[in-house]
Amino acid sequence: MRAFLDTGFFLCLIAEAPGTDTAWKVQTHLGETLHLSDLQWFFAENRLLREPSSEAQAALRLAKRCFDEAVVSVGVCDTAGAIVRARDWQRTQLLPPMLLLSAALAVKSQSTHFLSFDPRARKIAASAGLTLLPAKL
Amino acid sequence: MTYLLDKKNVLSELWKPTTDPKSWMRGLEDLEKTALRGDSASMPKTPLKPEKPKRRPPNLREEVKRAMSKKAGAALVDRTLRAIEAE
Repeated sequence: MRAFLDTGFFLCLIAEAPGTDTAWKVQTHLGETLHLSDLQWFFAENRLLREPSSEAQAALRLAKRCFDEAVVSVGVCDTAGAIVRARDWQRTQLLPPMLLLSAALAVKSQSTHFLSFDPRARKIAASAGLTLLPAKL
Repeated sequence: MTYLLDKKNVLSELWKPTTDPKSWMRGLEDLEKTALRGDSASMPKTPLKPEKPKRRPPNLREEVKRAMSKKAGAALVDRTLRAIEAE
């Protein structure tokens, strides 16, 4: 199996939010490294670096801890292929680009599971045959 | 190739100028039987366990909890996602 995170789920791992308990439970249950694309990490890191708050700094430090401890792995994905897939989807579902891309990147990286708390991204990922985690919101 | 090298080594051990020819033949027969069995005799009786993934530090979840309040963390996640969606 290969579990792919959307950006929101990843942020819940590194910042204390309503989904954080569930996110860590899912991670513990799976017991293996979760996958994030370099594109998602680029956007998340860029945003956190531009935020002056102490919480953002802590989140960046915790993200590094997650990578160092192999809780999450950032990998190079077929971004061009994912954009093609996302463009197909956006003809019928008008959603923000990163949301479409997260699901498309999961598909293009041969993932089997999609970890997300966003019902919009979950709907697309499910239609592409990915198993959703958590199973229910 | 490995078998031939092993056989050569064993033969050199078996054969001594003073070795009785019958005893040498028995040794050779034993060697052939072992070769037919392959490596099964030296294999572990129980299947090998798959390699465990790298151990996670149990306190990473606790570190997140200690790093910020739930209110501040939730606001950070919300702000960050909204900003990414808007870009």
